[in-house]
Amino acid sequence: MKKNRLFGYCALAALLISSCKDSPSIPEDTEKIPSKYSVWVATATGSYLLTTDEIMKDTLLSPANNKGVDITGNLPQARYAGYAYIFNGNYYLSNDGTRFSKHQLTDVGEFKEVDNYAFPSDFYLGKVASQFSTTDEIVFTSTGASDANLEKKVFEKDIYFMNTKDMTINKTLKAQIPTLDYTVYKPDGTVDPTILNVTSMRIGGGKAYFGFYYYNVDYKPVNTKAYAYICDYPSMANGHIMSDDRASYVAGHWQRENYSFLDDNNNLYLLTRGKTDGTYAILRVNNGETEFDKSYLYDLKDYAVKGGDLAWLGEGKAYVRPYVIDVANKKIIANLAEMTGGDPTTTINLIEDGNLYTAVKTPASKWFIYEYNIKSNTVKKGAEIDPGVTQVYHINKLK
Amino acid sequence: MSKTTYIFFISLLYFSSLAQAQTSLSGYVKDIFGKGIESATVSVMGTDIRTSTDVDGFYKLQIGSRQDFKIEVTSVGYIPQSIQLKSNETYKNFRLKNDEHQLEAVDVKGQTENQRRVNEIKRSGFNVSVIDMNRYANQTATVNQILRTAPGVTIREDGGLGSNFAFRINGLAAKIYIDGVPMDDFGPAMSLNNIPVNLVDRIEIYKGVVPAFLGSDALGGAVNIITKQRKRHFLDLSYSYGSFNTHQASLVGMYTNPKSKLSVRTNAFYNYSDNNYKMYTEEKYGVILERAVNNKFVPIAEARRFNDRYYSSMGQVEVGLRDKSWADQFFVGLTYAGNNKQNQLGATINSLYGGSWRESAYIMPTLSYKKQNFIVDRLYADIYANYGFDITHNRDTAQYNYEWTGSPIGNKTGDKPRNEVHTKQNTSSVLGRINLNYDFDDSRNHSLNFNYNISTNDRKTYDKILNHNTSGLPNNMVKYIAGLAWQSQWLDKRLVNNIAIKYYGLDTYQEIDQRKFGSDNEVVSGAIVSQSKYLGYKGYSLASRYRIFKDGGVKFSAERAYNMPEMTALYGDGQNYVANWDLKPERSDNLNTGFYYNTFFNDNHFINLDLSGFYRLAKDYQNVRIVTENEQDKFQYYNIPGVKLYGGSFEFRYGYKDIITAAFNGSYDKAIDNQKYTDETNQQVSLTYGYQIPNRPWVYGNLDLGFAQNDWFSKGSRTQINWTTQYTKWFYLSDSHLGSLASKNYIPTQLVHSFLVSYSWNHNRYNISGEARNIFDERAYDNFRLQKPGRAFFVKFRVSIL
Repeated sequence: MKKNRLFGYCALAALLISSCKDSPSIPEDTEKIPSKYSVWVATATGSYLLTTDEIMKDTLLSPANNKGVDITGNLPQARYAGYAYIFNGNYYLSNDGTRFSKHQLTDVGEFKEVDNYAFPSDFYLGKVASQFSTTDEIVFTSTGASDANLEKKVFEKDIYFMNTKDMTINKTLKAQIPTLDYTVYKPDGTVDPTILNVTSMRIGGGKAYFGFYYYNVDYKPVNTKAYAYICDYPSMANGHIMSDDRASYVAGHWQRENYSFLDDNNNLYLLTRGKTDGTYAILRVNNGETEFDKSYLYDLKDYAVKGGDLAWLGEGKAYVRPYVIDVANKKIIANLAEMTGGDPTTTINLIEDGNLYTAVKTPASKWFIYEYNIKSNTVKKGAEIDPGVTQVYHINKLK
Repeated sequence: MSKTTYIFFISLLYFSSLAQAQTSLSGYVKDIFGKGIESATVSVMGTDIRTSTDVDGFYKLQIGSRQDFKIEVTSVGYIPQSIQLKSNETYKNFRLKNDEHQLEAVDVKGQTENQRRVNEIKRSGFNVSVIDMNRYANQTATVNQILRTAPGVTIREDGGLGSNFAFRINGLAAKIYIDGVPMDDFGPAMSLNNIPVNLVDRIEIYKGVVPAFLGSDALGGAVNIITKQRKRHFLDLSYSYGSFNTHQASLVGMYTNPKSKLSVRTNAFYNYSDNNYKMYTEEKYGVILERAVNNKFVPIAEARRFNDRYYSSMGQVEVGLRDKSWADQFFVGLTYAGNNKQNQLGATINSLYGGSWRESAYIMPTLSYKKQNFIVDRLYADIYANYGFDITHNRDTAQYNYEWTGSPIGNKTGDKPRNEVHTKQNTSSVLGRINLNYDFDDSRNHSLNFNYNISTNDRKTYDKILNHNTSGLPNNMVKYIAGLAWQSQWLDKRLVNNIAIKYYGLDTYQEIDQRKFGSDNEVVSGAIVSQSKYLGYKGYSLASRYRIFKDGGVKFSAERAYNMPEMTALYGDGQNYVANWDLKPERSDNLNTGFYYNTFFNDNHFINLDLSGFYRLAKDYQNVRIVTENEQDKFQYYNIPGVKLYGGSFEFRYGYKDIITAAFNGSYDKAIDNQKYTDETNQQVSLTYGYQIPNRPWVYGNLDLGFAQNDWFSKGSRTQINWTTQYTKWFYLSDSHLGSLASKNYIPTQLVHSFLVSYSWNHNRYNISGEARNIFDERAYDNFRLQKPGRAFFVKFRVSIL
């Protein structure tokens, strides 16, 4: 009798085991997703890639009704897209800090890691020299720099050349950026371990340029000077540091966005903070020079400049979100905020066939993709993105 | 005091008291289902020799050298029993049958404080369930593991013994109390994840409105852990050993001098586990464990957790007096606790930390005073105060990333090595609590209860590596909670009402370094800025119970209540939690209903059915998200502007004598995003509005089957077999309607079965038990990718001396 009871319990337990399905029912999806462009959006609790073949078509891009690709599990929502580079259909991500991985979208819309590189300590994607990107190689930095080499009095900033076929490092170049020529002390009298925040890297005309500031243990700039480091490329020799205090320290962050650009003549333009809080300015280093051009200062104090990738558009124009500026003449050519009637939010730009594409959030809190034609200085409204999303990060060309 | 000395001291006290004992008769008075009957009278018939049973139903009667006499046992609600005692019989158990003609105890006179509380809970309109932890005393478990089997309760853990957890009742972050004192005031010393079951008498789980005597900012529910306290001498020692090199020991003891009424009571525990359980790659659940080969992460099928060792110890001694004219109880106490917890995973499984840990030492003197008829008749006073001082070190000495094999990544190409982290937090806290209850008559038809709580927390954080200039800046928090409740009984006690008002005050203060320094280290601008804010709110509640028929009735409660942020939520913990100074108190308007039915049939069977439902509208719902700080994943509390929660639960219990017990419960618990718009312009409806909040369990249940047999192998023995099953239905990581189904991640359904065999002999004095947990080695995840321990075995030995 007692045995029977025990068997009865076990039978009941077995019944429970067999009656519970461990996962949701997922219909087999064989329908190919559009794959020319992807738009990276977020809601309060998730991140999604919305793919389309035509970003300028009057249509609605939405993850609702189980459309789009859910990438929430791949990237914590907090990481957003600040450490990602998308090129040639591949998503290069460093968002978990331990790996540099290559992801691809499958034909049926699954986001898969296809290869990776294991870094020994925290690695986050810094600046990308996208003009060198090929099907075989990408060139980039990480967000950090070495600790100061007190003997050589330099910080080493690595430039990685990665073979994207097998995710191996082809070579590494090291910029040797000098330490400050004075010691920073903390209020308690001890030495502050001052370090670098590199906010931009550009390579052109046989030179490599780095815009940066020195910061203290509280992540605050130690002074209000704009610093740039220049050296020969690819030898990385003949390094020279320059500084300027007409404005303030360089603007930006160590993430993927570049806060400088090179014009067609390989003159470097660097975005800095302005003299007053919340304002900006642009400084110039002429090609072949090793100091800031004292004759050039574009004070943008009267304009509502926002952060993000600075881009050279050609024809003397550059994009400093949300403005298109005439660089040489220090004039605003276009204000995309005014022209679109909204707020251009995309911090990584898509520039293709003489057009700049950005996501715009309208005063009615709707989202649209806008095309800015560089030549005609006009804008055109494209696809609408579901107004129910809370953020649009990237517009990327996959093919 | 070392643990050995401690045990010796208590044992000495106990055995010296045994040596002085006269000839006595002892035993248990229990009901037909094996539950101890408290306050039953055991008397020698024809004499005035009598005594009362304690909370366990235990009695001890001094009979001298008497022979051939009758013993009578009586208790309200039970049929009296008398029996002729055999000569030389010194141990006798009684089993009383229910008297179905008596409904409820009509008078509270003569009840112990504990009994009064239990009866009060049963009769009240509060939706409360009580877990008798003595049933679990032979298990190798912490309170967490038992609590999670209750309906409506979710506990999401990220690992093994001592792991981080999130505790909710019906979807809201419920407060936890130990003997009515908010658990937060015990620092890291006491937590649901480290208190052994042996220290606990019972757990009261309040769903919805919480009684005023738990004077804190509980919202939507609370748990009150009642530790073991007896008037008599007793000693309970246990030790268990099991998988993952897990050791757990506990000691609970009490000694009272019969003449002077001087009492010493002590609690102590020690927990240790390597927590090195196996994790498995499960691609379908998004879990891929890896190792680095030639600078590349490659999958491996399985790996053991490493750098996840946990140990904690706690010792508490209280000395005081009982049953004095000026105090029913007056105790002063001292608690010391130490914790050391390695931290393999931060907020997610994404990064492995090979050298991170947290250790703390905590000391807390306490003072408690309880008195019936305090100043005037029928006024009950319960006054409590403590001071706590905690020193916590957060450290990380690893220079490199780790792989799942437990080795640092060998590749040296990459970023600079990580810097060592070492912060120290000194936190001092003070808690003062006064609870006054006045009964207008002996039947307690009308009572007033006043409760006032004040708690302060002051923390200073020091960076031991950088020693930088923000080190030592203070973070302070003071909470004031006052409550006034009126309890009344109407219609011949068929209707019981409790109406309460509450005031919540929160005073916070912090200093932030906003200085900017020039090249000569001069302050260019800014200063150390002080920030403070005071928030005050009023809440109110109603809880009613109406007894429809003898065995059943309905309950209803409604409230507007607030949940104030905790220190960790506001200021972070220096390790895994980032501060959020802007976090607002959570407000919730709650409605709760319940139906209960308890009955017996054929004397030997009982059935208990509880149904409950709830509806909550929460404003500034406190939730936890993952954010980045210095490029590391961290947790942070934040407010969701609006959340609507609704659901219900049921529990069915059946018992046959003290041989069979069966319990089955299920819960349905939905949280709907009630934040309508995407931004503050209130124009576009959010894609998540009106949909279920993802990444939380919402259908879950438990099954518990028990079989016991008395007197196998030896008289006075008891053999018990228990089978438990925990079920959680799968749930999506992100919103179910967004993104293609093929691309969505989910946390799978879990069905975790455990099996326990225990054998006790010599009238429960000695117990040995074996436990197989997660017997089918189910892949169990409370959180995405964070696998919990698989199959594990434990043995436990326990001595309980009365």
